[in-house]
Amino acid sequence: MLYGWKGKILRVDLADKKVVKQDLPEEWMKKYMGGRGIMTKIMWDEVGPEVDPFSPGNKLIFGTGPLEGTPLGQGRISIQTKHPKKFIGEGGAAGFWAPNLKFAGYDFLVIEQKSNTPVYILIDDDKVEIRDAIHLWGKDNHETDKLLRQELGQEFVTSTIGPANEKLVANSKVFFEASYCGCRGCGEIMGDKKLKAVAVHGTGGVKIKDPEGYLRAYRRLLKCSSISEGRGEPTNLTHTILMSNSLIRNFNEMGWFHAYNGQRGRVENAPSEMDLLENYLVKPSTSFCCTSPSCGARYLVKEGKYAGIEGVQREGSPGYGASTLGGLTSWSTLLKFKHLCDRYGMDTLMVLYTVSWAMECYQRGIITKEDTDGIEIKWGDDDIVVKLTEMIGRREGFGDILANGAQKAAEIIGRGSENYLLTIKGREIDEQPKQASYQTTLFEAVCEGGPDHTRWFPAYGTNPKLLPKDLSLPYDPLTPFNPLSPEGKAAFVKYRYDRGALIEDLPTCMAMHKGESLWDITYWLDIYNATTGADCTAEEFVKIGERTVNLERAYIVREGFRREDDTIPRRMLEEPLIDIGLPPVGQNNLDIMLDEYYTLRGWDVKTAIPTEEKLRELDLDFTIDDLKQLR
Amino acid sequence: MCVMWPTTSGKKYVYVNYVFPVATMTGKEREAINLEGIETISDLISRLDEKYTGIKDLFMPPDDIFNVRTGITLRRGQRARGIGDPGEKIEEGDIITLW
Repeated sequence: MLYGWKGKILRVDLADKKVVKQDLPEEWMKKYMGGRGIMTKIMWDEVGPEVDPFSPGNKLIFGTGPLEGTPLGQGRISIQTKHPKKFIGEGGAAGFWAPNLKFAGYDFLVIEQKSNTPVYILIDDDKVEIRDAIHLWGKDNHETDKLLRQELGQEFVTSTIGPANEKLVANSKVFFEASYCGCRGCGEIMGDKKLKAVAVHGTGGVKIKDPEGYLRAYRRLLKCSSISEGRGEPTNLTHTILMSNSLIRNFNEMGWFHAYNGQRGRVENAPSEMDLLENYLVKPSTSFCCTSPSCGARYLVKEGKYAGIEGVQREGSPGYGASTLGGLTSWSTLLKFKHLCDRYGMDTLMVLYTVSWAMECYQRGIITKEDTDGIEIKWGDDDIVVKLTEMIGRREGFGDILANGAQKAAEIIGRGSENYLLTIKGREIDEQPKQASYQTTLFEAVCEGGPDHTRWFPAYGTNPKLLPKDLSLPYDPLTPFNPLSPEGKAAFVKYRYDRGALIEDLPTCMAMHKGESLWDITYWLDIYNATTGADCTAEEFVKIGERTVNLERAYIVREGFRREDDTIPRRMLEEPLIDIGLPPVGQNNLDIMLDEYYTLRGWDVKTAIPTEEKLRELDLDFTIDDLKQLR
Repeated sequence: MCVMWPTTSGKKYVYVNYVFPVATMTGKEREAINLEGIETISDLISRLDEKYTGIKDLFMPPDDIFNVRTGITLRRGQRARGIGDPGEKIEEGDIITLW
C-alpha cells in the first residue's frame, strides 16, 4: 500500500498515439521524493545532450509529489523540459489541475515525441485518450479552457497553451485553468509538440499513512504562517490577495527596480497597490486548499479604453515592470498588458525585458523607426507597450523579432545592442538590480533553471531575535541583512536553494515556506513522514533537496554549462546604479561568491562541475562517468 | 494613480509611506510628519499611534521583538535600507516606509 504517492507514471507518446502506465520506482520516491527531483532523474536518463530541445526526443513532464492531493500540496504542479536554451526548463503553478492528476491515479505525466497535427490529451481516471484539437488551434488560453470544459464537462480542469506558444514565442508558459501559469519555456516546447491542452478529471483520493500526525503537523504549520500568530514573516500580511504587488511602492523606495531597463533603480511614481485593490480587484482567487488565504484576485477594468477586460492577477511582474518600461502608472494599461500575455500564453517577464531592451536601444539610436515598422518606441508610452505586446503575441512585423526573446533579438539587430540585455543563461531576468543585493546576484547567477526567483524565494532572512539560542544555522543569520558585501553569501544561498528544491519535491507552495518553517525543517519533515509513513531523519530529508540541486547541476553541465555561464547581465557587473548610489557588482565580487559557493557545494571551482566525491556522497554515482569525460 | 508628497513649508518633516495593509489603517498612502519631539523610529511609531490606533502594537508588539510581522524601510538621500532597531535615529527629509 502506497501513501502520499500514487506510484504511477503516465506516459503519452504523441507520435505513435500510445499510452503507457508505468510504476514509479520506489527507489526514486526515497531518493528524489517527487517534483523537480524525479523529473530531473527522468530527464537525465532519457533526454541526453544529443537531443535538440525542438526535436521529438525532448520530453515535457508534468510532476507532482507525495504531498500533492493532500491539503498541503496546495495544488502545486511542476513542469520540466529541456529549455530551448538547453538548461533545465522548469517551473511551477498552482490551481486544481495537479490534485486532479493525483486523484486520477498518476504522480507524473510524461509527454513524448511530437504530433503532426494539433491534439489534446484527456485523462478521466483510468481513461486516457489523445484527441484531435484542430478546432482549438489558434484559440487563446481563455477560449481554449472554456471550449474544452463545454465539450468535456465543467468537472474537467485544463492545462493549455495559447497562440503565442503555437508560434514558438520565446519562454512562453503553460497555463492552468486559464489562470495559473508558470514554467517559462515549457509552453514553447508544448507548442512545438502540437499539444494544445491536457484536460484532467480524477475521482480517487490520496491516502495518508498517519492522519492524526498529519493534522498535528498541519496545524503547527498553519500557526507558523498565520497572519495573526505567525512570527518573523512580514509578507504574511502583505501577500494576501495582492501577492507581490503589495510591495511595489516599497521596492521603489528601496531602489529595487530595473527601471528604464536597469539604467536606474527607481521611478518617480510607482503604481499604487491601493489603487489596484480599490479600483480593479473584484474578488479573491485561490488554489487547492490554499491557506494564504488567497494567492491572487480576479480583476476587472471597469472604465476607459480597456473597459471590460477581466482575468486573474497573481504575479507582481506587471506592476514591477511598470518601472522597467519607463514609469507606467496606469493599472488599466498594466492589466491590459497582463491580459494579453495570459491570453496569448506569453511570459510577462520575457515581454517586459525584451520590450525594455528595445526601448533602450531606441533611446540610444541603435534601433530606429526603420527597424520598428515606423513605430516610435519611447519610454513610458502606454499605447506602445500594448501595441508591441500584441505584435509579439502575433509575431507581426517588429514583434516577430522581439518574439524570439531579448537575446536572440539582439543577435538579429547587432550594433552593440547586446550590451543592454538583461538576461542570464539567455533568459530574461527577474527581481531586483543585482547592484542592490549580492545574495540575489549569487542566487540568479548559479540557478540551474535560468534566472528564477521562485527557486530561492525569499532572499531575506529571519529576524535573528526570533531564532532559538541553541539553533545552529549553516549561515550567519545576519548575512542577508548585509546585502552589499560578497562575504558569507554562499552559505546562505546554498541553504536556501537546497531547501527550495526540497519544498518543490514535496511539493508545496514556496509562499508557505517562510517564518519559522524556513529554518526549522521539522515542520516539513513531520508532514512528509505522516503522509508517506517514511521514517526519514532530518539529515536524510535535507539531503534530498541537495541531491535534486546536484542532479540538476549535473544535467546542465552535461549540456555544456560551466562556471562562465553562472553570471549576471553585463550592465550589473560593470555599471553603477547612479540614482540609488550603488557601485557595479564587479567581477571580483562575483568571483568571491562563486568560489565560496562551489567550494561549499563540493564542486570544482574552475568549472562548476560537481566532484566525484560529492556525487558519490549524494548517491548520484550514475552521473559520474558522463561528467568524468567533461572535466 | 500618482500621489505627490504634501508640501511642508517652514517646519522639519519626515515623510511616511503606508503600504498595504497599513494603508488600510491610515486611509492614506503617504503623509509628512512634523519632526518636533521625534528622534527615533520608536518615537515616530508612537506619534503615529496617536492618530492611527493599533500601529504601535503592529510594529512594536508587546513581546518587544521588533518587526515580527511587519517591515520598515528608511530612505535617506539616494540610499535605502531595512530597519531592525526601533532606536534608529531619523533625520529631516527621511522617507520611511511602513509595510
